Amino acid sequence: MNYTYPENGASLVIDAAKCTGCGQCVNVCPHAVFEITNRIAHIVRRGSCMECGACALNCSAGAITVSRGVGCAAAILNRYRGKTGECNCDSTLNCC
Amino acid sequence: MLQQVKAHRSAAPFMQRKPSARKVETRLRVSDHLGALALRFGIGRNNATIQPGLYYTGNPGAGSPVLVTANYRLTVDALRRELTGISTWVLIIDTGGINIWCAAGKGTFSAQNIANTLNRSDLDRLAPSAPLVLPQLSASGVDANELASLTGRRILFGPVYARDIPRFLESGFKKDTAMRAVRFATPERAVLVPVELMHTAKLQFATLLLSVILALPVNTVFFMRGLLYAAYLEGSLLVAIVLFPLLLPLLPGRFFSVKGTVLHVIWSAFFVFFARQHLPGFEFMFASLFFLAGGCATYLTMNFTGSSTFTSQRGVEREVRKSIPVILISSVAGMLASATLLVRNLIVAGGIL
Repeated sequence: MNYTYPENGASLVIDAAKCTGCGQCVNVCPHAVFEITNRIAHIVRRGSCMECGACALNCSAGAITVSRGVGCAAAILNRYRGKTGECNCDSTLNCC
Repeated sequence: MLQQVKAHRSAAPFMQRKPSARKVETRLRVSDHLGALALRFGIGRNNATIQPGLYYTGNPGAGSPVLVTANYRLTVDALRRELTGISTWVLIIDTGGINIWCAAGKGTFSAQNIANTLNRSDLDRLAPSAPLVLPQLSASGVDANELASLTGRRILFGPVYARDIPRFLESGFKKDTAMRAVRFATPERAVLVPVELMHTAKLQFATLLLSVILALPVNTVFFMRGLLYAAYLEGSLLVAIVLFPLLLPLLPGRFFSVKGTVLHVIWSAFFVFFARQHLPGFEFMFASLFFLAGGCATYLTMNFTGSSTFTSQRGVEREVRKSIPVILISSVAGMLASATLLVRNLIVAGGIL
């Protein structure tokens, strides 16, 4: 199923000059955002990117940047109300 | 070294001495299934942790892979049930009973914590060079390079779902595209319903109470009014809690709040159609409740972003900023209007007007 959402992947950037084409981003992305073509990673499904940050954290070449965050309305409302940015969900089923 | 563990086990099956690795049962008991079912309803959440540390299944050797997981009971259950007939080490990390993806986001399932747990265990003695297999969804919190340098081991991100682990191990750590993809199909969405029902129990009860109050004064139409209001308000909540997650991909709109509003309008139209012969005399109250219930239902559906698997933070921030004013105005206007109508009904009944 191919879900998309506003602003998805807006902050995701690949520095093609740094990319070694190792494929770790393809390996860790749960939404098939990347594909390797011509030995370089390309963003092929930006709208599916929820900006979890797995690719950037695990890119050993440091070629990927993304502003990582949790897309959870409860967490965002908590932050606006001056509480921690956590969703404070006691259930891990409905969390993050 | 493995011999020691094995000899240990066969010689004293009920040994009390601290074992260097504990055996994991790969078959779930009835009590495990009942506990899991309760957890799906949010019951027993405070008792959903497994003791962290090193475990094993089958007869692992020095080269057997080490599956690393979180100490949430449902997570461990999902993993161990797939390991029948497979010999592995299982390293359970203390995430405070939080699942892998959330724990990775919160920073408790991290390279540092995994390395610490590993160092406290006997793994370096039992399997000094065995590779660590991490759940793929932990990649948002674990830097594999950092973990490799902390432990000196080969680090692999395995499949997203535990059910793919046997195939992943058999194939020599090969992952196909399907193993990498997180699913959010009907089963994954349906499983979110029971716990949400439990979380909103108070709201549902308050709704019933409100229906009775709004139906005052007690007269010939009291019962009819109460039933009508309760059916509509309670129905609005259930539509948002149960139908919304199930119908999510079919609903138009990009924001969850827009999808939720569309669903509320459809539900309200259905309700008006089927209750049309009972509505005359209640039109204004019904209109007020439409806005009140609409605000609440939309808020509930917007909160569902947190349970979904594909919403980015900036997108949700935009949704919250745009939706909250509408939700507030709709709810407050609906509340004021229904309260005014209630007061009017009471005054009329009191014979003041």
